[in-house]
Amino acid sequence: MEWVRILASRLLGIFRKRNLETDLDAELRAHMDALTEENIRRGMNEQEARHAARREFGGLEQTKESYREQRGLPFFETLAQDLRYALRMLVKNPGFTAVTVLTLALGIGANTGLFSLVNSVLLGNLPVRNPEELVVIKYTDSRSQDTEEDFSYPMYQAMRDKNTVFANVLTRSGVDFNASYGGQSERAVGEIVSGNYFETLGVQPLLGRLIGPEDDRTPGAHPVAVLSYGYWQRRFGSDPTIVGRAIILNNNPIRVIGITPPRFYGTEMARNPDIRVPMMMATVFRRLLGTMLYEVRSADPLAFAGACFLLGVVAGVAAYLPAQRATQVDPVVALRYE
Amino acid sequence: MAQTRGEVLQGTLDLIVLKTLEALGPLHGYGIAVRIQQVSADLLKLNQGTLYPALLRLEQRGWISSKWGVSDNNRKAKYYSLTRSGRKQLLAETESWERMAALMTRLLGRAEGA
Repeated sequence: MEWVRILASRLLGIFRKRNLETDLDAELRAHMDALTEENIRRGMNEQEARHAARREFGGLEQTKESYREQRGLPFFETLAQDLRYALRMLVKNPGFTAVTVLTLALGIGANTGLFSLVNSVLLGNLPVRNPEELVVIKYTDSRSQDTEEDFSYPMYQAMRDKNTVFANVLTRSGVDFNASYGGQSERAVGEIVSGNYFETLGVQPLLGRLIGPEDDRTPGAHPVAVLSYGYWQRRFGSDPTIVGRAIILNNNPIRVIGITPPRFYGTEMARNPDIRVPMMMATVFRRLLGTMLYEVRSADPLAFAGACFLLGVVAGVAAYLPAQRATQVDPVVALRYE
Repeated sequence: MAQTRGEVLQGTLDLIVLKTLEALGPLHGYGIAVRIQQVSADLLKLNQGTLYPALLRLEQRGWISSKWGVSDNNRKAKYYSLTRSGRKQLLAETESWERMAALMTRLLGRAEGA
């Protein structure tokens, strides 16, 4: 506890400076006087005695200075002086101060903004259960050598049903909705998700229930939707009675069955969809994209739905096997062994 | 008679001051300086001014305490005296000094003998 005592003494030294300074002067003067007297007693005249005393004592100011350094907290005292000086100068030059403050504000703001982005995109985890166990499945196109994450729906089904590596395989695809409710229409960011999407990510509903496998069985036959927390707040004023009611998406009445929790934004940082509907509803919502479908017999609804997801992105996957192993297995290789 | 005046070895001033106060009881700065000079028979080159920061340092550590008083020739003077923890410190430092000195003597002695 010695350092506490020393610190306390030094702090006191800062605040009782004037008294202490007088004390120090008195003490040193007494010393000098005593030395001088002694010298006179030895037979010097007064001036000689005084000079001799100075010699014996060493530098008076030097002594005082090192005494002061020992007494206070010189680092903080000079820091305080510098700060006072800086403030005085800032007050004197308001123009310069304004420019400086603005520059700093902009700089700090930009950096904070950029860091928040980097933090959520690069450093943060997805707001789901066990995000470290998720992997994205990709494949390399043998002709173009491009790495793709778009799979056909049958391919997704095969991966989901025949995989032995992953706990589950989910898929999702982006879509835009024209959403109407209470006579007002607006564009909403949508997402078509597989029935196991929420179950695999381990997301719990804030209200109502989320889309489950039972909502993803028959093409076109599951007019249900889940709203994001932000959209629910913005568009519906956090009205809990919206759950169970119908909203209009692209002219189709769709029943809202639940709200996702506040921090959940999905599997892609940049997108943050407002409304999610089951994958089987792709036959309803992706019809507009018919021009982009190819090699599809539209008579076969399953193939139709599947073809939609040539454009879609596949798949976060939760592995119950160690995530490491999961990431090392190329899924295409894994499936080849099936 | 050739005399070399030794500089005060780093860190030994504290020990010297503590020992002086133990031997003579409460003393003012000048008294301490005089005593040191007497005991060392002027072998020690001491700028008396350097005593004061040392005294302050010792006081901050709680090894000595100070009080204003009146000197023999009726002058106001600050008297320093050894505290209990100062006594302990003196003991500890004396011991470690002796150990060090003995070690140095042995080392140097052997070096000369070889």
